[in-house]
Amino acid sequence: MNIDAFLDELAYALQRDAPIALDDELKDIEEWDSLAAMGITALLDRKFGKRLSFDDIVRMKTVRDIAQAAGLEL
Amino acid sequence: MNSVFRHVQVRGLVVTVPEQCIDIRDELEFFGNDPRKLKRAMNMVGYGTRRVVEHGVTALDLCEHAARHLLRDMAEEAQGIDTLLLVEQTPDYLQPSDACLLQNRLGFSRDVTALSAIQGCSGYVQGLWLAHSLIASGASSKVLLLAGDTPSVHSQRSNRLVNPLFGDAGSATLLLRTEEENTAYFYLGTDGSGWSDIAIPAGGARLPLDDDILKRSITDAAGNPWRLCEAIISGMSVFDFSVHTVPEAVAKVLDLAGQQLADMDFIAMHQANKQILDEIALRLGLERGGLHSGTFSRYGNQSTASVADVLAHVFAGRMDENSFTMLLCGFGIGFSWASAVLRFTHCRNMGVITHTATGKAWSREEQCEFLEKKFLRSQR
Repeated sequence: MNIDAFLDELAYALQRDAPIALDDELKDIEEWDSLAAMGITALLDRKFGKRLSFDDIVRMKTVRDIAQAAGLEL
Repeated sequence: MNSVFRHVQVRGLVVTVPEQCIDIRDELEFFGNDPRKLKRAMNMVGYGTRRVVEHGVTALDLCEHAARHLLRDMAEEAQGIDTLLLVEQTPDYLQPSDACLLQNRLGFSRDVTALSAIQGCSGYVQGLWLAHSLIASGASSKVLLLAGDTPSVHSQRSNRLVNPLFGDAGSATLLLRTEEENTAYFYLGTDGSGWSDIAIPAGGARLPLDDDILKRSITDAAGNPWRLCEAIISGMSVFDFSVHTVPEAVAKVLDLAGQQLADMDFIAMHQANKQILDEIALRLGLERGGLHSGTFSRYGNQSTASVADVLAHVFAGRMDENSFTMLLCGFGIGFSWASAVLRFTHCRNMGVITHTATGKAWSREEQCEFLEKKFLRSQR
């Protein structure tokens, strides 16, 4: 999966209409909440076979951290 | 485990919900008074309205109400019920089982068997399995299955991890022997390692209710209060369990039935919440929103009664003339789960009705006095 497709998936999981960039800080994304964390956990598991804990997700700082956890080549 | 049964029919069903309705839009204060946060929770979790009991109304009352409606409306078909099965998690008393009380309250003869089972979100499908098993084996000819729960009473309104999810309901389902083959397929599973992920730990024999338990009250960082006698739900563990287990449970029962998901007229899932059902849908190869979660949004997660309520809510009045092949799946507390492929034909689906009190409610004081008198006279 390329970065753009990943960012689209991420926006879908977050249910966010506005675009997301790789270097966005998660704390600046309005939709970044416990619902989003659950959605991201599910996305990483379903699409990338990575089973992370809720705590792993909550510790992430940027969108790049999520992409790295997904195993994307950055 | 897998089970296949023949010559059993679901003949009628009805669900009772309490009258009291909470609308999530009236709880804006719990979303930081931010309408956007509320809207987001409504879109993602599926929050809408939920029906919750008034103080003193129990799962037994709701099930009794549903049963009375069914027995009145299907008086002829209900003749000869020999088994009462009650599935619930919030019994009136520690002992005896509510099933025995129901035999008396519903005026059944002394010749019926009345059994209670303690199960939650998987309970309705497990109850159907048990009823099918009893009838198919010849042990029973007609079973009245009562499945209900009052999960709303197990959390404080300000515990937002738990309280907004749940609604209360009781259901009554009549099953009987039929000459038609009507093959029914079930797959059931259990994983008790998740016992503490959804639990009400105190109040049983392990942690009896005593002052020390009642005095302990904690609050998490977000301000959600909790006591040991209230419901704990580990959201992430439950989510993880659900999205991995349910697709497997669906695949296994379809495999047993030799059918595909596309062969099903409808999929009636336990109404955990929309976010969980949407994720399961994606894993089943459906669109997000491809699994019905509208019953959650209208009535809340009704625990033991949820799958029955999906049928009552969506198919009220439509099962008499039409046949439907359905996949049912209950999953949750235990952990436990049960899936089924059933054919509903000539089923009288009486839909969702509203609870009205039958007879005078006893006050707490009256109940205590009655029981104390009972004790004082127990020597005679």
